[in-house]
Amino acid sequence: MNRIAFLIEKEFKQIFRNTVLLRMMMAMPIMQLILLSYAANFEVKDLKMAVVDQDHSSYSQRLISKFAHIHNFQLVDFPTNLKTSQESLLRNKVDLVMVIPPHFSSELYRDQKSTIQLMVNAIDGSKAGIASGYASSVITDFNNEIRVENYPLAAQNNNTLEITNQYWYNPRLEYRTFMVPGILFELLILVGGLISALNIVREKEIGTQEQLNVTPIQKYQFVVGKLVPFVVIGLLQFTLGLLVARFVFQLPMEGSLALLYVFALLFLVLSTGIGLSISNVSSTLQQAMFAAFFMLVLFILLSGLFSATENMPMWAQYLNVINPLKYIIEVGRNIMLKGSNWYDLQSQFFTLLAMAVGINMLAMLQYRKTS
Amino acid sequence: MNRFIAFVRKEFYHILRDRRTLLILFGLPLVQVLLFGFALTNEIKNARIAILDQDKSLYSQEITNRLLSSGYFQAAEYLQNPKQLEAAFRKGQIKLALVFPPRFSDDWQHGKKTQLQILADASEQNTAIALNGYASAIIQEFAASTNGGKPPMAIEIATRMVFNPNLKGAFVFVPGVMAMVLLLVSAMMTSVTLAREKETGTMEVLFVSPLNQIQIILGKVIPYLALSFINGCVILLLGVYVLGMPMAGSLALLLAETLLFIFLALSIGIFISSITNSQVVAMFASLMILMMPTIFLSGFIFPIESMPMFLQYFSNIIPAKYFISIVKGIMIKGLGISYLVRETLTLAGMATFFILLSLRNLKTRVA
Repeated sequence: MNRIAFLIEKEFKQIFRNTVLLRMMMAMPIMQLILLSYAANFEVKDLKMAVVDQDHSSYSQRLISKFAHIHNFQLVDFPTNLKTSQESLLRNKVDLVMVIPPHFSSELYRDQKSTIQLMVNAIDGSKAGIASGYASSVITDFNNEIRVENYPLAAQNNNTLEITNQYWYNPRLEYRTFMVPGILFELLILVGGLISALNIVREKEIGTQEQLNVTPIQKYQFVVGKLVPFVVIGLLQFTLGLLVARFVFQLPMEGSLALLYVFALLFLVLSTGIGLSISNVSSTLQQAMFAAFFMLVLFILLSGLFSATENMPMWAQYLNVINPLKYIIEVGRNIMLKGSNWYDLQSQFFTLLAMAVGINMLAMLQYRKTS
Repeated sequence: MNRFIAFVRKEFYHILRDRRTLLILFGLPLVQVLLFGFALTNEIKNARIAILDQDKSLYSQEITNRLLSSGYFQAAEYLQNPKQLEAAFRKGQIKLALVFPPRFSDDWQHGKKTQLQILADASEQNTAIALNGYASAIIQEFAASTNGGKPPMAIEIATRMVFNPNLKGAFVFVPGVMAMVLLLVSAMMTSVTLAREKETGTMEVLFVSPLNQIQIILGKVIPYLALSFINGCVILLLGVYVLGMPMAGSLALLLAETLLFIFLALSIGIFISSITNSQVVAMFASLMILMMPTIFLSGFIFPIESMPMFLQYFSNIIPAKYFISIVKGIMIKGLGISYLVRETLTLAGMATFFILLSLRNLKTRVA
């Protein structure tokens, strides 16, 4: 027991001695949590729109002024022909172009129908979908208005079905509420996993690993001694992050704080284990760094932080079964936003536990005193 | 000049000797592009929903069937009473619940006011909005079809999705992943090698050699420039032939821009290593300063226009932002250099800035 305590003491001393790294480890994740949470937003607003009005009737004017009054749209350009409007799309000056055909209003009176063309810059497909949805609903509104004016009876008889929507757990549909718990855990794995991955390799590179090897220290003592300091620092960081979430972002804490900490602890043991295990098999810092970087990016992008995991192809979902970040982000969101309790989250707990025990066993077995 | 070539060759040997790093160096971008080209998608399919049918009529059956056969939804649970809703959501199993009130079909047929309820788990906001939209559209379509008759004065909307008619996710992700991988690999590698020379003390040895500073830095950079360029080409080939990215513009221009971007990344790496002596600090700094901001602030995943103003200004100093818009412009829109002058000059300016700054730092360090 004493040996572990000494090893832990040594690790802490080393960490505190490197003030640059220590400061970076504490400050950067918190800064990132704040910055990135503001940045992470799929909300589509301020769509820049160009209108090609080839009709110049009172109807086309009315439709345009309807768009002008909706703050989701900014009318930035009124090109006179299609060619210049395409040029604006190419130059990224506009997100969408609405083309009102010549004889728009006379067609509506004579043929009872007319067609408006929307050209949407669809390089970002999901944004394009939302943009065209917004624009279509404005046009449909306009359509209903003129229908009521001209055919009051027909419009009344039309029996429409009413649908009410409720958005649970995030009624104001704030994206931040969704992102903050995810980013919080993502930064934990970044710090816990990365710094620990570099730790043992560094001892190897500067030669102090040899010194440890000639001591009577046991495998499990070695791993525990390396594990504890990182877990402690991680927990400290997690606490800071939670405070930011609470006081800067006013995030709710529906579930049990204690339960959240249990999961955070488990997750830290797991990510440090991953780091130590990478560190054990690498022979240079560069190798360790790239291996850790590779795993982390994989975990982060697949975790469902950015795009829902259910929409991924089957093979990616199978891959996700071993992605600890996926489970912990689910847990974080469920506890903080929905107030899920122990019974709701048992399966995640045991999966993470199995992973944590497994990876740390591996790290222990990999540690060899002789090469 | 001969000395310089010998130095570059020595650096190449250094890199090529470390097989494991080399494997990661080339394997990593490959796996990532493929993985994210296929896996990262915002398309929605087979979302799990719960249905609470208190009506049990032909109409409620028909609406349920239409929803489930649309491909967007799959039924996860059929609930019996409203009390079960909360639990179903809390377990995180369902994204949406559809509630038919009692006597729904009777009321509706007799023109009385009746309401179908859609409850969405909005802790995942965008999914919730999209699912809600799909479900509402399907239900409205059903309502319209049972009403019959064509409405007067119909304005049809013909939407054309320009540049990406099939709404492929790869169009967003390939340029983004390319920028991220090139930036990180190049910047991290150079920052670490230089820091390593300092840590082990061999930097001093280099400085007393007859090579001048610019030659030392160039000699360090050229091998990585070559490796990263090969990496970039591999990513491009994958993007076009495996992920179906178009190649509308000039290939030569794209390669030149890629080279410029790699050069910038390397100069950032040199800069980082010029301000620290420790490999670990260099790595952590390049990862923290480059990776997360590149993912979040470059427009790779989140649209820049949606960010608060101060972050929009901030995004102007993220190099990947310019490179992503160049890649999209050339590959998808087929733009020529005249459209990309501003982006290109910005990247070139950033590279010059970092090179000058690190030259100054190195000088003062050694003096």
